[in-house]
Amino acid sequence: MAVDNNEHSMSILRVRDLTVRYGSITVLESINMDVEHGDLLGILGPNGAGKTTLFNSILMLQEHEGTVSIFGYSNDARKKMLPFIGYLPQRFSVDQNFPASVEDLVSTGLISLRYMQKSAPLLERNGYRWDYDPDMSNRERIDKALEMVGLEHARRKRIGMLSGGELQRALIAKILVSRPLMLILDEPFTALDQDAQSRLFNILKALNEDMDVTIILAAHDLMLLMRLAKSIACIDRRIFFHGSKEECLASDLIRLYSEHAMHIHMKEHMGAGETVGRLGNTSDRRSSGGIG
Amino acid sequence: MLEILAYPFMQKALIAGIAIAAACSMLGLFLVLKRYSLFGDALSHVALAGVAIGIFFKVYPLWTALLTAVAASLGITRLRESTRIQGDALIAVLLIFGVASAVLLISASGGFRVDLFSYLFGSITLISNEDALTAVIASLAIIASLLTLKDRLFYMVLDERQAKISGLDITQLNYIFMIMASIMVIVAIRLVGILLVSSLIVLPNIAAMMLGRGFKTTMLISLCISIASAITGIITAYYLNVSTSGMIVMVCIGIMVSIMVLKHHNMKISVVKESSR
Repeated sequence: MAVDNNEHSMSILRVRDLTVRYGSITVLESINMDVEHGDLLGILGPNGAGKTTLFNSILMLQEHEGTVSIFGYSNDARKKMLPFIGYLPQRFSVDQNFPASVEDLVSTGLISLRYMQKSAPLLERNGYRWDYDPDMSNRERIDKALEMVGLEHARRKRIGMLSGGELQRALIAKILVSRPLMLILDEPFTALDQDAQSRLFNILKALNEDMDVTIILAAHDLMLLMRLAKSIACIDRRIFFHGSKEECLASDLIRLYSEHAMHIHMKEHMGAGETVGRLGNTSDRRSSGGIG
Repeated sequence: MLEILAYPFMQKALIAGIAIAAACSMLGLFLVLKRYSLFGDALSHVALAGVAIGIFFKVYPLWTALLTAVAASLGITRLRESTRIQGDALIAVLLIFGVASAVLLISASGGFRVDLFSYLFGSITLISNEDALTAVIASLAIIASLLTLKDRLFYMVLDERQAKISGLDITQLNYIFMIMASIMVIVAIRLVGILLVSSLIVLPNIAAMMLGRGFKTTMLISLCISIASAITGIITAYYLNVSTSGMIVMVCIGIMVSIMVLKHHNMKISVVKESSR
């Protein structure tokens, strides 16, 4: 259990006026966003909408304008908070011959512990608590993380020999070994079969509900997000919807999204000509600031 | 067989050889995984320019070689961070730059001389007591640093971005690692020479990666192959009266090819077994 909600008033993640430009191209424009502790936020958007850029900006892997604060800390102090975020990138390619077992991979997660211990007082000052048991051995931490993702049997397997779903779970075990307070997962469901998807679905659900881990994840599949997430944000260069699942249901989003998906499908498979842009009409979006 | 161990030059060569081979294979594993396999080669060619500077100004050539190698490796790390040029392309630039400046300096100092050949091809059986001691101390220092930093270095070569998020100072770690690599290359020049430096960095690790599953096992296997090649190479070269560096490298290649053949053979057997079931 990370924290009682009454103890702190600030959001676990706060983004203000975040803009990212690559030369003359604006990838993200004036993003404002608050994520509360315990949320499971699904971020929806087509390819190239800026989801990965948003995550990279939050994680200080990308230069940006505007401010981002994590656990109440922005600027330089934000860097000290990063180890408390577990990040699963969209692609993790590993050479088949890379000499690392699942256990080796998971144990890299332990390296964050020393940095987290140093920054834990800062975290507590803002009312968050890091669930850390100093008496636990590293071995026990690894065992526990592997058990949580159901990979105990594969601990000595080479990571290059794992299936896509297994590698995904091994990477999640690596994140969980240091008990982060927040997870950022970039399209974790892409390239997984049905079985692996539902396995991951259950792991994330349990982490959020039983262990109070805040989760932000990007996905293409609105229906899947509707089942998993507590709130939804839609992004395509700008944020044009951010609200609870109920608000999302009440909005026009689902219809627009399915129309959009149909449009892309038609364009790809039938070579349809000029049609409206991405989600909704760009000029509408700018003037109204949202469709929700 | 054992009487050659009574010769002091042989004792020196074996002790220094084992130390250098061990450090090279350990450091090499990280270089190979970082996809910097040719980095040793590039650095040694820059070191050749350093050696030429030393000979030209009549300073101990390995010191000038060390200085140029450290400067070049730090320069490359800086360039890799600040430009979008790929790592392997930068290594190619470094290699070419090293050879070109060396050739210029060598021609300016009156052409190739005998002492230059000992740097090009190694001369472990001819080293002085001081050189042997320096090589052993430097190798042990590198092994000790690698053991201290191994978890962090492993994380860095596995996923630099993740390591950064976890709190590691990747820039600093990269610089430290590059300085270690430069020192290692200069020390290894004594054993196998400039032209064959990357052999001990690359070969034992390629062979070990075919066998080991986990990281520690792979490192241990690589260590064993590297040390075995050094011992066998030095002793065989003495009896056959051929170049020590060439022999060490050939033994190492022999081990690597044997493992490849055995592995391929085993895989075939298991495939046959599977299909006959």
